[in-house]
Amino acid sequence: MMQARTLSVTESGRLGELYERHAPEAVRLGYLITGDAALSEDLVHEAFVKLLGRFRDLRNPDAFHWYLRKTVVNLARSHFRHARVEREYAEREGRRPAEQTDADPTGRDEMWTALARLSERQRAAIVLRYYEDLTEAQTADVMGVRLGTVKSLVARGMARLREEMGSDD
Amino acid sequence: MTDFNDELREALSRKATDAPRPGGIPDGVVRRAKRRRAANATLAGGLALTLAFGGFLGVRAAMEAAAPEAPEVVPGTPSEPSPDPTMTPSPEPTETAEPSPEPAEELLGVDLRCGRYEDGSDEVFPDFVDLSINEKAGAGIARIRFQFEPMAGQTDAPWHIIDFTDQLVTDGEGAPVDVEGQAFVAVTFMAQGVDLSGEEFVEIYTGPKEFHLDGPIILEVEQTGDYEGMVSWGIGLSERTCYAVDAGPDHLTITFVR
Repeated sequence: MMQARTLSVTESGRLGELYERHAPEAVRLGYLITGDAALSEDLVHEAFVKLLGRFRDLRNPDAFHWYLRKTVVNLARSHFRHARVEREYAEREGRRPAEQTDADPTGRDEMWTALARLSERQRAAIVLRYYEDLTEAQTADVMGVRLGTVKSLVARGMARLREEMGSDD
Repeated sequence: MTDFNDELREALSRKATDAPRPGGIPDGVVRRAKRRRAANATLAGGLALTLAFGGFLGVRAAMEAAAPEAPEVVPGTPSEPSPDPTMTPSPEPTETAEPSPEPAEELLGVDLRCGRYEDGSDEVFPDFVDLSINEKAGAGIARIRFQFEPMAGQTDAPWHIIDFTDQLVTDGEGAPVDVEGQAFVAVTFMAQGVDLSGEEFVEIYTGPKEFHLDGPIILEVEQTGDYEGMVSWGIGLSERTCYAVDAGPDHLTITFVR
């Protein structure tokens, strides 16, 4: 019944190490996708719960950071999806929708403000490509979409960014 | 081009420094991971038993776990609905002339949902390619099947949500959609109905966006959205009717049973 046992003290210590090594990077990714500090930490905590709960089932535990990145992106997508459903329901019910949290409240960073106006999927694709420096194929794998979809998301997102920034590059 | 890309990279790196800096692993994360590990181990055992005995209990339990809030009516012995191999996808609704002497007999034992139902994986993103509607005259059964072309290696059904609503609305805009009927069902699933890979949008599902039927159960079916990878359809029913769901990587079938 080795598979059924719960985490041992030693494992808990290892989990702590994994968290300290990978959580900061994951929180930064979540923050750039959501623009929400508290939400990004919540997403990473949820991602750790999901991954640590099935850590032995991971095909390649050495690639933990890769699984974590995928899980954070998927959880962010789920969050936005549920938020959209809730927002539409609130609007139908005549209630005021919750405020968006992903714009730069200080207005200091024009590029970030333009990024925050993109769709969540476009922003995620651009963050993975230009912050995480993933290839298009890796980005497609992380987002669980086709390569062509990534190309389209990045191209359209970048076009809109340039338009908003008034760039001719 | 490079300047703009560099500017973007710098903006992202600058913004990333504003992200919170997590400390040690929170106790709550460890506790929840332990619980999940134990639950996974139990589920694995259950699945092994299910496979060993070829039973339906594991599948039924999984469905119940996926939709704990969905009220159920269980008219008979529990079992799962299976795709009807005789039903071929067709853009035109069809009717079978043979009335069944026992209404809904083929669905005895199937779990019926009378409210909201949600299931599937949000990591599955198939193409939505076809839709067919069958209503057996006099049988008290009407079936709508959304046909998918799954991505390679995907074995789960895409995330889907089915719910009754007082007013169908377009996805994204939220504009009201008038559909004939006295009860309305909103169906939303994760799929690609439009190919975004090229410069121009290319429709993958090229069939009708509206179906007008004679009932007696389904009166109208209309697409209400294809937005951000979520495809939505609205169904107008002659009256509120419970339904069974069968979903897989290549289909989502909703069977209304009266």
